[in-house]
Amino acid sequence: MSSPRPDPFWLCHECGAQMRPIRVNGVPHCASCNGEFLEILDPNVNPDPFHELPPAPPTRPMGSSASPGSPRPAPGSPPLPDGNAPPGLLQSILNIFGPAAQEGATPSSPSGQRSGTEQRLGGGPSQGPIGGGDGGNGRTFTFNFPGGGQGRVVFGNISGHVGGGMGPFGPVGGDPHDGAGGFFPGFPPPPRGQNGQHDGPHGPEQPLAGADLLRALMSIMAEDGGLGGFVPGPQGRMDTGDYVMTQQGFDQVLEQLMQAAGPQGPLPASDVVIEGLPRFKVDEKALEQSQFKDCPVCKDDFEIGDEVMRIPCAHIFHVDCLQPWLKVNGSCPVCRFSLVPAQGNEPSRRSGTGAQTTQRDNQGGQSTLTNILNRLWGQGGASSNPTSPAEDQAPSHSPFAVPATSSTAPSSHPGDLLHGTPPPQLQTAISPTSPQASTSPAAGRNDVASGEPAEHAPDPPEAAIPSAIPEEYRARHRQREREQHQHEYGDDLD
Amino acid sequence: MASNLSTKRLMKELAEIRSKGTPDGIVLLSADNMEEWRFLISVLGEETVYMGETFALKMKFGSRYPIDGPEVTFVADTQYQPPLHPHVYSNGHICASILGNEWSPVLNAVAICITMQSMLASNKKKERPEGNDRYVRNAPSNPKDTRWHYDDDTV
Repeated sequence: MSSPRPDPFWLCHECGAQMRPIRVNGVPHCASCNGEFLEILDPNVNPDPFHELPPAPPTRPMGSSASPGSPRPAPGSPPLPDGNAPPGLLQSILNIFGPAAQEGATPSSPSGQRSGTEQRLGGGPSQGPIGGGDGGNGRTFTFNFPGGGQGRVVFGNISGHVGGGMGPFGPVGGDPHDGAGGFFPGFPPPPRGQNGQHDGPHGPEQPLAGADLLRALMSIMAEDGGLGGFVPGPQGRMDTGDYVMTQQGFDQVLEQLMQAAGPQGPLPASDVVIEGLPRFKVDEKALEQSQFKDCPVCKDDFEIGDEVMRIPCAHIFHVDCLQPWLKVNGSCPVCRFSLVPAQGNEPSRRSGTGAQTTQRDNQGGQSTLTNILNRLWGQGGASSNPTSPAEDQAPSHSPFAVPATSSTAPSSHPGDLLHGTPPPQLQTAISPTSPQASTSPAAGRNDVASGEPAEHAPDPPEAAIPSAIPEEYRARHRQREREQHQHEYGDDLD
Repeated sequence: MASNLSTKRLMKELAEIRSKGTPDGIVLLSADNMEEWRFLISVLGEETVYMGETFALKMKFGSRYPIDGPEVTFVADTQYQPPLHPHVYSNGHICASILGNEWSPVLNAVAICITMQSMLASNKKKERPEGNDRYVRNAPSNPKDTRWHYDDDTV
């Protein structure tokens, strides 16, 4: 058991940092990424959340090892190709763990060994107990981490343990190599990727292959954080927030996802569009003729000399009233006439430019998948972009709009789904998931200099029909998302 | 501190409320400053499932009002409870598009009250939204930080 630290660290499940949080209105925020998905790493304050968990549902196809109550698989699995772990790395980890583990290896019953530290070893708020349950033979290891702190893990064969949905640990192995190598925690196959191809099925009775052991060890290290920088791989750290095994944990991740999907709501009009709206000063004649007597935003009556702007729908506003609105929401406050292109919205959300030269009117035909992606990632799906009732008029009104006829031009674009410039009828399916793809149509058609000429290929691949986003594409998108994610965190940490 | 535009606009709304009154079933409970107002909402008529109930609606106006919509919640305290409604969470958060991405600066405090009143008036089933507990457990304090998905325009 680790002794309670007077000033405990917190684990941020968003960026993986361990830090002492900043409190904003009493709500702890990650000092590193400002996230709110934090867990205090103090066994006194955060005692055994496992007990609060509901029993595992009985009808999961993978049995107890896949049930919500089961322990998280090693978080290190995605960056580590299964079975291809660098042997040098494994060896060095074992070297680190070996002596400490051997010293601390004290065979004992797992009962009553649960502590905050052990829970962290098992993983976050949603882990199963390591060594939880009654009966069975187990061994407890105590580790001294180089970064400070002490961890303990119990490996053993827990017979008849059902209630928590905990996959029982493998039995004590016969590997004489060293203490740590001799015990094989029965981590379930990771849910991601194709990592299920273990050397053989390993239930409670079979030891794990080397890569599984490595994963288990790395999960321990990642959870403790003491060796965070040691872990190689694309992410350079363990993304422990990737795995949850409880309803509560899942709820939290879901909520975080929904909130992290970006600012909700409609998209701003670009500066170019705003600047292009006609402006004039109210004079007597205008005041007399106009049917609009007051500014709909500030509700003040128009007066002679007021500087006003007109949207193509003919509604009139004070310049100072309309501009800030259009920078939030590119639609008419009165009638919601949209000044925002119907698709390819993400670049304008992020940069305020880039989408103004695109006009695409094909919003039908979105696949269910695309809709889901839209909702998840916050692009202008039907539900999240209600400002486009007039989108089919937009091209003829907006001075900067590219006429929709461009969509009839023969498409001479991409072989590369991600970077290329798909033909307009395909953008519906593709652009919402790829900022790059959605900017390039504009660039390709209207600004050759900034296009991506290298990507131009004679014909779009047939796979790119709106209803079928190829798995390859999605995989690459995920990779891109991860890289971008990491990039942003990198900025934050700087 | 409220900006010039927001203060001016709210003063105008307040003056109008005080001179012209509010629609039936809507009462200005407090408007002590230009940052937070409270209204009492009740549904009139005999058809309603909220017969005899009164709810308090809290609006917090930011400095960018009316460009940014106010933060609107039903009061949940010892005195007032949020209505049992499929779009109203037990913490008072309301899933209504005009409070989120369909906000328009043309709307105002009374318009919000009217919308809430009609949302209640059209409801037949007194029940919490699906996933209420989950949402309330994880909800941000400001409902505008929640990414709502508006999928029901019947209520």
